[in-house]
Amino acid sequence: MRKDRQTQGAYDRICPAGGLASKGRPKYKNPLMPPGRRIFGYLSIPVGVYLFIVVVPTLFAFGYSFFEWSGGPGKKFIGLDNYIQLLHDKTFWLSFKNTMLFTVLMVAGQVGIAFIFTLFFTMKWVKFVELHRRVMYFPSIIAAVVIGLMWQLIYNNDFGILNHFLRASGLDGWIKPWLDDPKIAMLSVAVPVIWQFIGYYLVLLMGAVATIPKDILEVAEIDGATGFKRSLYITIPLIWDILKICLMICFAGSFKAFDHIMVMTGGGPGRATSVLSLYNYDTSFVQMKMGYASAMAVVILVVSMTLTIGIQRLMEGKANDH
Amino acid sequence: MRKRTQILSVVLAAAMVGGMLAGCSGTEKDAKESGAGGDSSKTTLTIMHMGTDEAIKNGDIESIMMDKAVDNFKSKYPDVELVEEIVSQEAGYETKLKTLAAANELPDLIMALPSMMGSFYENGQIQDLTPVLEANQEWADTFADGMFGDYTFGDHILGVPRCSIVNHVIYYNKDIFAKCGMDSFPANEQEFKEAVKTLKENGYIPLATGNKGKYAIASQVMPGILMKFNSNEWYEDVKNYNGASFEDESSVEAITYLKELMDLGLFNEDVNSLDPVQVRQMYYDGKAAMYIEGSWSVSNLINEASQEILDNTEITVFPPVKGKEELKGQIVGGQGWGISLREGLADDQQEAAVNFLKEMSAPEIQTLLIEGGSLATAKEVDYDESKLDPLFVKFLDMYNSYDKIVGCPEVQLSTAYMDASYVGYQEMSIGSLTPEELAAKLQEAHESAKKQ
Repeated sequence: MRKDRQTQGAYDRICPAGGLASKGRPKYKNPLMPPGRRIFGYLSIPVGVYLFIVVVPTLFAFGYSFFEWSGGPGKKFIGLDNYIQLLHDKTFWLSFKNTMLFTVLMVAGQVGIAFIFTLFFTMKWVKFVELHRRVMYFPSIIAAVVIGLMWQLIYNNDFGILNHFLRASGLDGWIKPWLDDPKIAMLSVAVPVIWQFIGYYLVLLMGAVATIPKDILEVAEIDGATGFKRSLYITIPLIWDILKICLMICFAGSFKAFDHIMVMTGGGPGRATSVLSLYNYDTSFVQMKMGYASAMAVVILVVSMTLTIGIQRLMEGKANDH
Repeated sequence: MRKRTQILSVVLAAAMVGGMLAGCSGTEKDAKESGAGGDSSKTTLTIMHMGTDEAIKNGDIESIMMDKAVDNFKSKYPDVELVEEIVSQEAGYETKLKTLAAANELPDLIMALPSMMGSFYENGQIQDLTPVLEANQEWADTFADGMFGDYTFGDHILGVPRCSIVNHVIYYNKDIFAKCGMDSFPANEQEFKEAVKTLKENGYIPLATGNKGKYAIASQVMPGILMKFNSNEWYEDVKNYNGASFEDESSVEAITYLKELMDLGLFNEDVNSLDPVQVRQMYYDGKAAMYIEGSWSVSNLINEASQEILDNTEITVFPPVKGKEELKGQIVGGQGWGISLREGLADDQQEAAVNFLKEMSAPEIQTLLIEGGSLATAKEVDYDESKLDPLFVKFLDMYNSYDKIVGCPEVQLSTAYMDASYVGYQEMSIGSLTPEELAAKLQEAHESAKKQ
């Protein structure tokens, strides 16, 4: 309570006129503030843009999903046939499985490793934290296509640095056509993406750690919570909200993975690295089955939203337990 | 103060809306602005093709030819404004074209693959050119026989060829063959199998192939084999749903033969993660005994390979099958990317568009094609033999020794079939499909296009 009053005092000192009219104060009209209706008008511009580029196309896709349509003017209404066909489409389910695997790898790899590094960087004996952070963040500013091509070269069977390194270390048995072996291709395409975005989550998590008041850490130390204990009982609970956001961003990002895989394998060999967005692209822009692809897009949207909301609920539940 | 704020906000909002609208209508505006001072009497014609400056610089003959045709047309018909949109294949020409088709906004002259033309026509987006060819009989007669093969759908001709191609050419290094104890190229499919084994044992990559784009095995290697096991009549029956099928014994036999070759190690180990440009290097370095790509690659080899490699290079296609010698005169070829006309052109546009097609197949262009290392489309072509590269002469000799050009299923059949084939052969190469399963998948995809 005392703190609240203090904050209010500080607020009054900074904005003595008071930006918002509140009860008990004389009403003050900001000359820069237009009347309510016009504010609504201004704010409707971004909403309009959003409707135009997100909501309207989604509704259109929903509409197209009931047609047999290969683009152009000719459409044939076929009701739910596209959805029924989708349920029996083995490639769709294989892509779904691959997407889930990819997402799990991303969440565990990107956020997991970033989290471990974050805890590591809170240790006092780690030097050059700033340098490490910057170097690790660097890959996330490179375009996905560049990363894809770069790793394609790294994985190259004949002159790739990975096989070269294995050969030099006498591990000839480990040499593989990394992107050609269907058993490991999914892992091979996941590694570059994990590598690229560790730094991104590291920056977010370290930002969260920096907001933990120093006195709390000091008190914890005096009470004997050092190292692992401090991480478990102080750091993790205090950055839990940011960690949750990281997990959500990572989940949503991985679910729509496309560019890296497109560049490295194009979904191949066969369908070994086909993910949902890639298969959807293939159906629409290679096979030109626009109606079927629209139905697929609607299903992907519903599935990903259900999963996102589900995970959010789950984590909220967990947060309440704390 | 308040008034100024209001004016400012109105100006800013107007700027933003204006910017958005300008962004939406960019292409159209460019087209109008590039007209000669907004002269409304001019006929405007739009064309989209792949002849980028970079491709022209690299000596890609099909791009040079398009560029030349456009230049010739522009100087001959100054009253027509020809607006080009040039997108390279790497930059997603196909995707752009299909997107435009889906939005029903195709350009007036469309460079398209036969597999797309069928669905464009069914959707009423491109014209049947049969009446155009009939009305211009003299011009139509300049084309060699079968030059509309890829574009013929039933009674309709939906495109005009730019050049002629052979879907697969095998370049082989005779020096490597000699080192492995083979004086000549295998004479039949059994000998070819033995040759693959021998080359592999000697540490060479038998046949370097870049199948990352999935088309190399499906539309270059396989048709070459398929058409040594099956006659053109069989293929026509499959194409027209006349009882023949990809599941027929001779077709499965051909797929099985490819599978056996794959199991013997026909391709480089990383066949599915490299593209043709990367794979050519293996041939140039003498690591691969053979290299396969369509006939358009002859000019690439001439420009890129060392003299030593070029001297040792011979050109052939897959050998005939024992017991099916009657099929040995067949070679898989066609026209590939052709030009179609948009449905609903205005009369003046239609006339200009037909004139462009004529310009594109003019004698000067035919000479340019041959001398640049590509096959022409005309019956008779004048060219200076001394200007031909020795490798291209070898190719022409090989080509002329075949008497029957057979179409390529991956080019002529539907996009659904094409995708099934592209993915299917890649799946077979990694062992996730058997030849029988693949044949069934191919037939299923082909049938699905019939229902549409």
